[in-house]
Amino acid sequence: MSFYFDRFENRKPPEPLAYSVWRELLYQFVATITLVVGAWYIWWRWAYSLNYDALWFAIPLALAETFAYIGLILFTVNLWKTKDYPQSPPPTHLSETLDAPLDEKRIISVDVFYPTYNEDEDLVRLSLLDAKCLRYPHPIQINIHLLDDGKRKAMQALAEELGVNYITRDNNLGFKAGNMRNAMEQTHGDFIVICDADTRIFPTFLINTLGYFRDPKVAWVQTPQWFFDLPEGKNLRVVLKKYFWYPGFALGWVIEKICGSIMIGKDPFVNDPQMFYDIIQRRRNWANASFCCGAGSIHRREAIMEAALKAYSRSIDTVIDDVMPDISKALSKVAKQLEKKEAESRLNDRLKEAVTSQIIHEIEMTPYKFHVSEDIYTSIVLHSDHGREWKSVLHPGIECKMLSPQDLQTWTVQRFKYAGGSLDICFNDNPVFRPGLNWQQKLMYTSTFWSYFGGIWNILFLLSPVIFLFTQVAPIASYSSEFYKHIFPFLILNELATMIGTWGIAGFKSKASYLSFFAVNLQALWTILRNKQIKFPTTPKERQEGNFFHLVVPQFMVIVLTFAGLGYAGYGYYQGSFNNLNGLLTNTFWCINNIVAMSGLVLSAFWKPDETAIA
Amino acid sequence: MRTLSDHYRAISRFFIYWFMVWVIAVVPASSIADTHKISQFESVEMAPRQVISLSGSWQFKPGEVSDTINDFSENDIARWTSINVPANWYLEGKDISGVAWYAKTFTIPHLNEGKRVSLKFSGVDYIAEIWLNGRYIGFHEGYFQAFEFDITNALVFDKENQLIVKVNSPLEKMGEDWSLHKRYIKGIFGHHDTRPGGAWSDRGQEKNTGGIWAPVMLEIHEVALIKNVKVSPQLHLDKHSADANVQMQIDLQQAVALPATIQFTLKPYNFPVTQTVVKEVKQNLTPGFNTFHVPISINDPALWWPWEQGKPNLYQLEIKVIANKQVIDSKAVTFGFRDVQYDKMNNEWKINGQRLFLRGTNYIASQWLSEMTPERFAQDIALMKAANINIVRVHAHVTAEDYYRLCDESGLLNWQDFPLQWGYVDDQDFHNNVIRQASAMVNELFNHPSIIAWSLINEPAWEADWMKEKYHHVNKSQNKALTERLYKTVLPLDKTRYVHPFSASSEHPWLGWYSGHWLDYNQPTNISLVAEYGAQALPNLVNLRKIMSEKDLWPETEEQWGRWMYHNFQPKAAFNIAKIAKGNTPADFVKNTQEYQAKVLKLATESYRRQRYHPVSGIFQFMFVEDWPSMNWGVIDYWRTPKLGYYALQQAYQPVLPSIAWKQENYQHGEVADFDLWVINDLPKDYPNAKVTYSLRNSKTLLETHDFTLDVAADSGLKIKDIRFNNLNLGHYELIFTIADSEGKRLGVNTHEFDVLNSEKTKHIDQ
Repeated sequence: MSFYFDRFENRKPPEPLAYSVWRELLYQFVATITLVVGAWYIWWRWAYSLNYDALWFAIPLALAETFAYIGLILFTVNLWKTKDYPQSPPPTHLSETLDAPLDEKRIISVDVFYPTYNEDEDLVRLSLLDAKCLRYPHPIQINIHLLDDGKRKAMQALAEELGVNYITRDNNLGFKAGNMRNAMEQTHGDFIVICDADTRIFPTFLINTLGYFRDPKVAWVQTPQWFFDLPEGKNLRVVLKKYFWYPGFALGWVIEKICGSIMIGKDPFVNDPQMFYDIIQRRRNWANASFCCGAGSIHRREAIMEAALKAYSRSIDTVIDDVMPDISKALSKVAKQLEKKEAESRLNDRLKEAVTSQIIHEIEMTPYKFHVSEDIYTSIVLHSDHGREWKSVLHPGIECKMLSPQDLQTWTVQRFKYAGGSLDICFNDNPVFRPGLNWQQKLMYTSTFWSYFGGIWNILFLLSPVIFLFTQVAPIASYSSEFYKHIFPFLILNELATMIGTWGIAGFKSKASYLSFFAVNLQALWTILRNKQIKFPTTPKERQEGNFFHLVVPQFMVIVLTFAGLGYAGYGYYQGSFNNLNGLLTNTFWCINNIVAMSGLVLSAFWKPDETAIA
Repeated sequence: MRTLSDHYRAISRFFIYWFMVWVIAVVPASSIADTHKISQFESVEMAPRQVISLSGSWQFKPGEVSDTINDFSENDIARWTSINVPANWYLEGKDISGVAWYAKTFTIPHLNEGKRVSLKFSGVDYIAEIWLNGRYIGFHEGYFQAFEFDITNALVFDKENQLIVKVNSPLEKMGEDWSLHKRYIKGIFGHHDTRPGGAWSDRGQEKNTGGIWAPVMLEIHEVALIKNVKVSPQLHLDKHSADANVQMQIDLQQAVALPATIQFTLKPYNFPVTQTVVKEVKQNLTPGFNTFHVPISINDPALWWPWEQGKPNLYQLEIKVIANKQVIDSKAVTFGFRDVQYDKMNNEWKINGQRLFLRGTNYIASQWLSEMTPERFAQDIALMKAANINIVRVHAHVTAEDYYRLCDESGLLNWQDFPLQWGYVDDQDFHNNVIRQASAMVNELFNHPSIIAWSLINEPAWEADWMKEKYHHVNKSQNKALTERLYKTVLPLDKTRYVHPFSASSEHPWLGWYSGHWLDYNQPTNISLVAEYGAQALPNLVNLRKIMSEKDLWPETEEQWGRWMYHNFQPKAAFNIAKIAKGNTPADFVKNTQEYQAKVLKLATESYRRQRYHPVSGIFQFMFVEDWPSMNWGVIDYWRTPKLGYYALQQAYQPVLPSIAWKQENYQHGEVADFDLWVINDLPKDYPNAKVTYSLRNSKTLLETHDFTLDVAADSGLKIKDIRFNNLNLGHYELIFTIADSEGKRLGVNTHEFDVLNSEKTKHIDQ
């Protein structure tokens, strides 16, 4: 059997972005000015520019802009500086990673977890074979475990064949987190490497990550996830040649000579997580706030277990506190009726005891929270473990490769899970409002949660030009020079700051992706607000066949409406019924921006791998 | 009237009578299945592992008699015939295929708490299913792998245990193109042109190789078992040090963790102990597989070298698991510190950084591996080394473990093929099976320093154009995905060797046998690894008579030729392409074939050696011995009698070779005979002031002789002289070319014979 990704096997991972102190200083300088100018703009928006004739429109938009501005502040804080955690040489013995050294020189023991449910045997085989190639300069115990929730004979045979442990269970409780908890109970390694079934770990993984644990406070190290199968796309000139023959080729050649290489069809789903790991996560190192993302991370078992124990006792207390008053009340009622005060207190004590033990019995200890976003949840639990001050590290170098979602459905499911999971934590167990995290960590987590509300204001940004074009009702008092004077410096500075802050990574694609994300985002929000469960479908590793247009209907509608609005207003202007030229021009600019941003995702619904390249 | 006591008496007499019958009839039969009793059981306490051999006489019953063993009573089994284990059943006189049942009884005294017992098989061809005391134990597919089962829970102590093994060595399904869609991974044991019947007849699956061909044993051990020890040597040549990167597993067969110390002792194995490295590792063993990676550094390691570059120094790594101050398991593996590099760009093999030209042969010791004792392997290895061979391509099969051990000890390199050749089915089950078995091969043979390369499939269907002529329907993509997948599986398993994805038909230039002309070997080649070349030759008359009856010794009828072809002879290639003359007598015929094989091997081998590294990096003559009483490509026949080709190869493979390059076989009267003299030195040794002599003889007369001295550099190959002879008279000539070191000790000798003829008989190379 061959895989679509076979031809990418020899791809080499990119190096982490090079750090430049001057660029960082420049960023901080420009970003500060941007925020000041932005504040001025927001202030101006509220104080002077509201269209009092259409407050129904003006206030929501101004609110949206304000919230987006708050998001920008949080984003700036996140991007503020790069301070990688210092790397230490790999430890020889376990004691070197502990606060209190052991009496004997015990070597380190690592468990490598491969949770699987329904993935293809050959896919898992590749991953396990790579894990078997892990190297370390000192004696070490590396136990690989295949955690099969699918209870499949073939998987068991595979484990046996490759000499790895096979762990299964008779239920699927808690899905992946449950699967890992079950494995934790059956294993004893000092550190746990978390992989997905498709995680292809590099031989150097342990050499480059275990050194961080020389700091006994480091609880986990996350390495960037690298999708080695991202479609590379084709050069613009090649694409143009296909449609316009040699003139097209020549045109493409000229454009590429000027603008640099343009790859059409590259990474259609904007899966490339470099922005996330190399910028967002890495720059949380200084605040000790990078969070765990599952695959490609290594954890200190002690930390996970300890935090889980604490969370366990906390939840027992919570339940007892919830239940006990009711029980006491009921008891005292009964006792009153019987007029036996003494008995009440005795009965009460005994009952309390019984209830407590029952509760302890029923509440499960869950080292990996049974949660769609078990990774970020575990991170929060550890970060807020007061008294231990666990640290997290984002190791900037790529130490494993994995597969990206290859179709829109898979992509949507994954993004929906991320959004729903994070929003669920935000609403139901928000660490920002609990003690435990320090203020830097709170800011960083707020930044993450805040971004998942973005759908609300993004939909407003997408729709306001349409509303204006159809109704001629402007959300601002006038599209005058006053407006341009306030908005342009802010927009330009913001673009500049972002460009410097994310130097080395294509900016528009990420932004467009974030903007088109609104539908999934809102759906997740709606699900959480209705107190519904975010479902746990495992992300398929195989490309799903079919037409995924239904998944991009909202984005498509935005495009259609925007075009319609442009047409309607343009025709109106031609007829003379539409007379706000400045408004028309400004909104046309936004319309084009929005259409281009939406089109990426809409087109991706129809994306198919380049079959000619496979053959 | 009969009393009650009469009745009792009658009944008891009846019982006594039947008891007697049972004693007479059944007991002797069951004693054939000899029962092992362990007398000195106390010794188990001393060594962590105790082995009880189950070799000897077993009960045997061929045929698909039953699906389950429940249908066999003890009586049934006692009436089965007996067979020796280990042995291929064919060698035991059972010319069968498909299913056969094996049974064995043994007794084992009660074991202490915590002891476990494994049942170990060293090789069963091809599928084995095992029951113990009626309980199903397990299944294994693949003829070459060792495998084992934990049978502790199925054992009864102090009583007889009944072991039953169902062995299945099926035939490939016959029909049109049967051998293009094979499903069993048996390489040359399933289908080959050196098999009984050859590759291209419907009789090509006769004399099946099935059976329990390698030893079976019980192993009593503690709860921790060392398994899968792989030692990857990593040389730091510049620092005169090395690491033995040990990867191993300890299978803890209990439910609770066990704190243990694992002790590694590294010491010389086949040379005087000068240093011993001990390393200890403390860790808690957890239930199931515990995998350890332990680098062990050593200074100034004695490297393992192929015989012509140095000594094959081997080390032994002894691993002990110590828990509660007791050694609970131990295992020793031998390995060598050696590094293999194949530089494809420059066509160079390097062993420990030292370049080496591969002078190889292809080898199939026997069709029935159980007949290969260590002594017979040692004999073959000695014959190979005597022929100056430094590498063996173990051709499309995995042979017995003893062979690899002996090669390690003798410094003979191996190029190990996986047992796949030509066409196979393309279904998922088969592919998975291939992957499984290939991984097993790599893991099992991993520690043998003599193996320097894995080659995964021989002439796969998708690339072998010649298959068009052999089969009705060929598919250009057949097994292509399999080939790729196999390569991708094996590559990460072993970083200490070169992995050849497949041995391509283009690497097998069968000039003068399947195509072209033998003189074509004089043309420059573009092949770097020549994995097969050669020609067939008949064994000498004495041995030919062992194969062919007196009336078939001079084949003329189609029927007679059929019998020759059954024994692998290929008349079409011999007469139409090689153009070998049959002669007038069987003795002529033998002589003509042997002379042809000899001259092909001499010309091809020397020509390839003159092209060393430009582009030739290694060559593998085909085939060393004959693997059954046959007349095929072996330079040594089945009875290990060398043919002329053996001596030709021996001469052409001299490490220091004076080589004569010629452009035409014979000369016309009046033509100038001109030759190039080459000196090839494969040894890593300079020979300053070497004495070179060349002379020309005509019959008994030495016509001329010339001497000069020359500095011969280590690992070199150079044309040293262009010589010409004018005006030679009609007659037979011999050109002799020798080279000796500065002390006069002969390093190499070579001769070339030619005729000066009347013009009609002259043969040009370009004909």
